Amino acid sequence: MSNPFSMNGGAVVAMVGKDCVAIGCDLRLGMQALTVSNNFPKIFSYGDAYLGLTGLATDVTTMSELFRYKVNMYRLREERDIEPETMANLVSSTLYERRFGPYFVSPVIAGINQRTGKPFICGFDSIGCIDFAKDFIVSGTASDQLFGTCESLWEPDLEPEDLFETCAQALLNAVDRDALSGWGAHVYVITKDKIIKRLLKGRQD
Amino acid sequence: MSFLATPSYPQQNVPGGEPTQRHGFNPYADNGGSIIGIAGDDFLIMAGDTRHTAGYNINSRTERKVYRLGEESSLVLATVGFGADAKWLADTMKRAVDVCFPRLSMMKDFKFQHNLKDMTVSAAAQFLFTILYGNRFFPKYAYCILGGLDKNGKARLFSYDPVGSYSKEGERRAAAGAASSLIVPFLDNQVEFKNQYVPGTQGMTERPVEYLPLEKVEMLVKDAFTSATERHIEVGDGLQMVIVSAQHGVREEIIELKRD
Repeated sequence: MSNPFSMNGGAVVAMVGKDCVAIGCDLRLGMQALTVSNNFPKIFSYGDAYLGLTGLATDVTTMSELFRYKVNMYRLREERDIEPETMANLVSSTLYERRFGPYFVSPVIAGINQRTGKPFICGFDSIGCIDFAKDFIVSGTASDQLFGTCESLWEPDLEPEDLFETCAQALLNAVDRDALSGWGAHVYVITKDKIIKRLLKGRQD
Repeated sequence: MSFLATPSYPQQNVPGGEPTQRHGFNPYADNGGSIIGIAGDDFLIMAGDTRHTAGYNINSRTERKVYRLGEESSLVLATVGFGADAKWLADTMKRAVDVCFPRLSMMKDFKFQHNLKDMTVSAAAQFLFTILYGNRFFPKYAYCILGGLDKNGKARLFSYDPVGSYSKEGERRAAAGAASSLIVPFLDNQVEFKNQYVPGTQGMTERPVEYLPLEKVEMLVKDAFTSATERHIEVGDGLQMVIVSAQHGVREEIIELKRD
């Protein structure tokens, strides 16, 4: 009950491949050890940028809707989609605005920059410090397990299908060793001209 | 002498009085590091890193965690947790199955008492349980993995919590220590093929578990530790591997890990 980051549970992972990125999340929503829902996706799409949010579920929902509003306003002003890099700075400054009363979330961004064609991923702490990674980003209650699986399964320049398999296996095996995550998963594989969203069953216990 | 009858306790921070001091002694420490054990059909690998830490300090880069319990024996014990307790357990196990008494040379504890027979793996496993549970109310703070070959030359592996819980059936693979949360899901996937399905069966048929060849297991152990070293500060410096094989006996190998 004391740590807001682990009250509801959840896991998100993002990976870079060759001209592609993947981002995946589990589907569990819990209250402590009690599972309340097995259909609570933690990845939200904002045009070219995909945002994964783990942490306190109420903040996950609040933030996803706050960014929907902010990204829509950005699109009206600029008359174009937000770039993943810009989205990263928007998330960062939004979180830092609440420096002394933070949202209890650990966001992850994945996307391909449509202008440059470059894959982009990054992660944040709850007050907006950005972690630009060239390989993968993990977050949530299964982050230890995800670090282990990602560090040993991931390799550079994976093709989209191989990246999907790597990301899915890293996520599934990690959440199976975390009591607060799991109950199915969503994995997005994003290339410049195609996005594939797959729903994975996973262990239901 | 009435003052003797009135008990006088030290006062707890009375306003205006002398502040009292509480004394504490913690008999345990966490010295970091990780160990794993993987059993094949007729061989097993026990491995551990060689870093010994205290908080953010590195006490040693060359402290081994995997112990052979005797020169001729196939028994191997790996321990992590509180270094002193871990070493005590290893010494106790060694003495029980192998080490000579100085006064009566050639007399080995177990062999002497058991008609010159070597201790079997399952006997050693039960013995380790007895040692650990014997300290139930002042536990030896160490996680153990015990491995060896049975009398048919098949690999057996047992893993323990600090008070002795273990499975008599043994296990295929085990991990313990600081980076076990990183290593275990990797081993689930690569040793027991968890979340893997036979291609073309629409995810209906799980990939059957099979014994892995020695080269493959050695590769998995190295991958597990290089990955753990990358992401855990208490793991690194060196990787000690003890390979017990029915055909080729026991071999020890130490390779470098990152020292940062």
